[in-house]
This record gives sequence, C-alpha cells and structure tokens, in this order.
Amino acid sequence: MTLTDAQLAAALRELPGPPPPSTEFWRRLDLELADADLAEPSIAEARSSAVTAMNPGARRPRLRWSLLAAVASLVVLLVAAAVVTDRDRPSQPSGRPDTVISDPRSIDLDPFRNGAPEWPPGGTPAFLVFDLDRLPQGWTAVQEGGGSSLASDTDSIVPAFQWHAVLTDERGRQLLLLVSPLSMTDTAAAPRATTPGGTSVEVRGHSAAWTNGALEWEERPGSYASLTQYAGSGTRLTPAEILAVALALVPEDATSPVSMPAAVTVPDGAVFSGSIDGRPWYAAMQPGGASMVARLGGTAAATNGAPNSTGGIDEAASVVVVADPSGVLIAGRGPVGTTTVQVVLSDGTDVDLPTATFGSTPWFAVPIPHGLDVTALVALDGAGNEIGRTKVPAYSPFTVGSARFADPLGQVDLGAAPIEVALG
Amino acid sequence: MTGVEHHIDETYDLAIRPDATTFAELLRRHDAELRAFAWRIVSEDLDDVLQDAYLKAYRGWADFRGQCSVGTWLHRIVYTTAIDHLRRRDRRRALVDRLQRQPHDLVDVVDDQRLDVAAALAHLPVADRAVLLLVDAQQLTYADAALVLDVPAGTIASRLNRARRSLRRQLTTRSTR
Repeated sequence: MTLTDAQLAAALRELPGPPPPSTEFWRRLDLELADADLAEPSIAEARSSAVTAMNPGARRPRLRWSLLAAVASLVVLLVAAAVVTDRDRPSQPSGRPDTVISDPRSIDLDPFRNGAPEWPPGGTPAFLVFDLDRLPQGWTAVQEGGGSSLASDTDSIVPAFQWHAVLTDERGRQLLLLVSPLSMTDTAAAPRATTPGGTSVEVRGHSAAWTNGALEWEERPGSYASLTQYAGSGTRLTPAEILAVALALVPEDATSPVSMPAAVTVPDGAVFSGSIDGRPWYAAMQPGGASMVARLGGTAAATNGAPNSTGGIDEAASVVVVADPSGVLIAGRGPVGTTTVQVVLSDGTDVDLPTATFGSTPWFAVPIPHGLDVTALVALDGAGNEIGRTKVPAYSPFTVGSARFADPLGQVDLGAAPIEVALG
Repeated sequence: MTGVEHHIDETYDLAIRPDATTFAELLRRHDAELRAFAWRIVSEDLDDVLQDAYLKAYRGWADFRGQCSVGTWLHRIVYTTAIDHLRRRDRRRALVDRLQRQPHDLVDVVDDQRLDVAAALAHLPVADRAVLLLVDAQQLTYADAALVLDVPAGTIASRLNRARRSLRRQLTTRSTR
C-alpha cells in the first residue's frame, strides 16, 4: 500500500480518538487547579520562554546547579588569581597547591582528602526493603538484590536506591517485588486507585494502582513498591492474589546493607590505574579502541564510543561512573583535543590528570576517594584552554551507569545495571 | 481547528492570570485536540499526563507571553509532559525488563486500515509521530509545530518527510505480512 501525502494526512485525521474525559477527570482537575490557586508560586518566577518547559519544580535544581557553577567558577578564579600555578610541582597535599599527576598507571587522589568535607553527606541513608523472612504463607524469596543509581532525569539529580526480590510460591509462580524511586504512574496528579474492576484499593493505607498487570503503591514518600508477575512463570496470578501478597508484606528500613566488593586485580594492559582509598582500580581499552572498561571494587562498566544508528556518536554513554564505598571512578572520553583532565576540588585546588589518546579520541579516568570533594572536571587542550567542563555530584555508594562529559555526571542512566550487593 | 484560528479566537490579557474556573474553561475548549495528540504519544496514563500538563500550564501562565496561540502553547506543554512521562516509564520498564530478562510484547494486531495506520504510527519514534499528528492530523502550521516540538521551523519539513516515509514503510511492511 502506497499512500500519497494527502491520503496519509487524511488517514491520520481519521484515526479514532481517545475516549472522552470522564466527569471525574474534570472534577479532579478543578480541585487541583483550586489547590494551585491557593499555593500560587510567585509570578516573578522565571519567564524564560513562552513555550518551553513549564515545570516550576524542575527549575530549582537548575538554578541551584547554576549557582553552584557560578560559585565554583568564582572560587577557581579567585584561587587562580591568588596562587602562582606551578603545574610541574610534585604532590604536596598539606599545602594544597595545584598539582600534576603525569603517570597514568599511578593515579591516586587519596592524599587530597585532607580537610575535605565528608562524603557522602550524612552517610548512607536508610532505604526501604521488605522483610523476606516474613512473607505470606506459601511464598519464599529466591533472589534478592539492590543498588544505587542516579536517575537520568534532565530536571533533577537524585541518588536513587532500588531493591528487588523474586518471590515464588509452591506452584512455581513468581513475582518480582521491586522498590524504586521511579513510578510507573508517576505524575503530579493523585495516583489512581482502582483495580481492573474499578474498585478502589489500598496497600497499608497507600493508594495503589494497576499498570500493565503490575500492582504499584507508594510505600514511603518517593519509594514505589510494585509486584509484577514473571511472564512464563506458571499460571497467572489473579489481581486478588497479587494484592494479598502486597498486603502481607512487611516493610522495613535497611541502613547498612552492603558488603565491600572484592578488590580487582589490575591487568598489565590497563591504560589507567591507581588506588582509591587504598583499593586498586583500573581502566582498560577494549579491543578496537572504541570503548573502555572501568573497574573498581569488583564492578565494571564500559563506555561506548561507537557510532549510533543516526550516524552520530553515542555521547550519552561516553563516560561511565562506578562507585562503591571506597569512592567513585569516573572514566571515559573527553572532548576531542583534550590533553589534560583537571580535577577541581572544593577548596580551589586543581589536580591535573593525564589522558590517553586512541585514534583522535582522548580517554581519561578520575578516581575520587570517599571524602574528597570534587566540584568539577575540566577538559584542557594542549595550550591549557578549557574545552569542556562537567560538574560532579556526590554519588551514593553502589552507583554504576553511563553519562556524558558535557553534562553534570549525575545524569547517570538508571537503565544501566546497578551493582548487585549482598544485603543483610 | 488550525493554529491560525487559535490566534483569532482567543485573546488574553497576559498580565492577568486567569482564575481556576476560567482556566478550566479554557482547557475544556482545547481538551479534545490535546487529548487526541497526547493519546498517540503516551497511550497509557492519558488522564494523568493531561492533568499534569494542565496543572503545569496553569502554574506556568506567567511564562506565556503570547508569542504563539494558547493552543500551540498548550500543545507544547502537553508534549513535554508526555515525553517526561515516557522517559520515566521507559526507565522503570527497562528496569523491570532487565530484572525479568525479557522484552515487552508488542501489540501487533490490526484489523482494518485505520487500525493499520494507528499501529504503524505507534511504531514510529515519538518525534516522528508527533510531527505527523501535529501537521497532518491536527493541521498546525509548520511554525506552530516547530514551537510545540521546540525545533527550527525548517526542521519540521524534513522531519515530516522522514516521518511520512517511515510511516509508509511501516504500512508496506505490515500489508505484506
């Protein structure tokens, strides 16, 4: 079938529309609008664009980052004006001068932690799990895992813990129990609270919603729990059976969930290596030179510099972030022309790290030990000109994901596999 | 209703934010178009996406400076809200998929040509889908569609051509199965 443009447009105009809005839709909206009236934000809020993003809540992080960037830039400028930079001076942590580390196989920023603010601020927060020893009768847990990642939301940088368990019953039917900061039905509107039959349902007082056969509820503010049946795992569970499991679950806080992963062994062919908090790390090129594997504490991730389907380069995966309780390893590709990656600390100290170029692509690796307050990474060309800059947020332990250099490296893709950790 | 008609029909004193009742009336006038547009973008959770978008519009009235019609402005907000929703949903789904180790089933049942077009449309990237819906289905001008999608006006023509080619390819593929 080949349609002309006009026929195609006509066919599109004739597409069946969605069901009309219900009375409930307008009633709910009227209430929301009335509430918005009462909680009216300042009219002086940014009027940046007539039609671009309208999310007032989303502006705050941007403003905060802008402010941080401005402050960080000011600090760097003031320090630069006050300190005569000697880029060849050896490491002198006590005096905190700018420093150059030139050996890519011996990159260690531990000495710069003196006086740096503690990280992560406030320590590891408590997070929601469910007591797997107190499951409903007939159900057992066959798998448990969890980890932290950072939501890849362009509007916010949110350390996010996720946890999951696989539950099975005596008939071999399996449910995935997931705790995540991401909701399947996440909107500003109130959660829908109906079963497929239209009956309102709650789980421990929290409105629950059915989405694509999964039951989801907000067990704690910002922590969404869901139960999803594994496809192909036996007879399908009925909504009532899934709800019964949800109601019987016992939520609990986990505050010290992790055991330190095993230390890695640095291979001879590693391009970059060193230590973080005394533990070895390395970054090595994959065959072909198009990607790099970064390893810290038994974890691994790879950058991907390969052309994507549109003929461009997959910038979103040009940098990887791997974190464990010893610290954070950031590795990947810098902007073309980068010869040095400068680590900017919160006290104004700069530490210059080497790059390694394969083809025309400069690669780098930055180990950030726990307690070292890094505010930014700056890409410098051979003449010392800044050609790229990225902010570095505080990472939760057990983060892994991909990012890109030009943006805050907090925008780690949650789609990347979180580090599986032993809980207990 | 086209973008031009929006300009003629609706004139607002932008210095005064409408109250909740007035704004709800405004939304009711535009809801059918916005709903049809959003439905082909998000499909699921349509009401939640629209509620979210409408609230953003109400709270963001101060951002509207009359450089386009109210309808175009609302389309823009609905589009960005829908895209945000898809991103959140896709991240969550990717997580569940990874844990379940299997992809989602794709609904692939077509009975007649209208459904065929709908199914083919659903297989296009969101950006291509959106330009077809705005220009071909809702007959927005290229300039208004560019405002909604936040791209240069010149991009609309090329994206539209690409989207039409993709849609035809989808339809051809489906008709030869």
